Amino acid sequence: MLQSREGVYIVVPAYNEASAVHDVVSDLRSEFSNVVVVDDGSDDATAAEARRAGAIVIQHIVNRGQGAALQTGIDYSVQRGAEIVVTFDADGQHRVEDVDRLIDALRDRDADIAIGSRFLDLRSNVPALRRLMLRIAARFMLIATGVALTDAHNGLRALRRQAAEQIHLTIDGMAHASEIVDQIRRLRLRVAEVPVVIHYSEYSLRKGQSNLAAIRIAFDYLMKRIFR
Amino acid sequence: MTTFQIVTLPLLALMVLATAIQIARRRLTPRFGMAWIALWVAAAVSIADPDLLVRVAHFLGIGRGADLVLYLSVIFTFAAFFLTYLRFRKLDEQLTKIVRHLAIKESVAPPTSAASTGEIAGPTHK
Repeated sequence: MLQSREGVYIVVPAYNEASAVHDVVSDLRSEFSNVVVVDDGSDDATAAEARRAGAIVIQHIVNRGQGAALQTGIDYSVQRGAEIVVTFDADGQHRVEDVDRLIDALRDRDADIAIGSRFLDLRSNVPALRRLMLRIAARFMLIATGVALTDAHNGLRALRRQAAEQIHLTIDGMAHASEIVDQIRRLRLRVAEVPVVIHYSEYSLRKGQSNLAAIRIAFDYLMKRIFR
Repeated sequence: MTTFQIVTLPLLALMVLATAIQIARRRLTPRFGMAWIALWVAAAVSIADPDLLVRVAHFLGIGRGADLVLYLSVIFTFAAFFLTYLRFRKLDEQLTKIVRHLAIKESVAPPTSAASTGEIAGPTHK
């Protein structure tokens, strides 16, 4: 029943995204009935704005990081009976129409998990330095895990229920994206990469990770790999 | 006896006593507590008899007793940092589990008045 939208749960991790989350949720809600915003202990009105836009809001009482918020949203969706779990960033960088492409890829390409990639075509206007960082990161993940992805750090993903049940993110911070790739390898999940467009706004760049944060992210990931 | 010995030896004796009390009150496990006591005693012995410390240093191929103490402290400190890091990470994981459990437990249904084209399949429980 992959076509049924009732079974699709969109998980939106959000930390201090009050100014962006309303529009993101509204757009999603025009297409999907189950939009789950995980408010990761925000200090601002993120939860209220998300609720106003029609999202199911679940709240971390203290900030635990994006990986932790994603896992909470995934757990919740699975408990609610989701057939497909989609992860979607709260800052407006993703497009709602790409969600359908990911869901189609799960079905048409018989994949367990579909991951968006901004590098499969030239539609995303990726800043040069960010492009370089993400390329290095993808190469690093290829060496570390043997999983070949052009854009391992894309926040837009779709998981079949079986994959959502198996994936368990233990890295609370941003290194969870690398951890997902790890688990794809370990669980032998079938992956489909789908071209998506990332909209780089001044807001999403300001709110997003600085290029320097890559060092911290790589450290978190390596420590987790070494000391499980 | 040097002034340094007069000041530090009673202090270390107090530390041994304090550690023993913590073991007796079961705030320290006997094993962990004995490790601390061994450290205090080793410090006391090397202060009381610096020549012994020098002989141990020479035996290990280190020129001065003070260098031996320095090297051991650095290793000990970094090991402590590392163990603390692992402990912190474990606490982090436990905290995340609690926060996640609470978040899911306390989740509420979205308002049914929300603009919706389809059926709302939100949670029905409080």
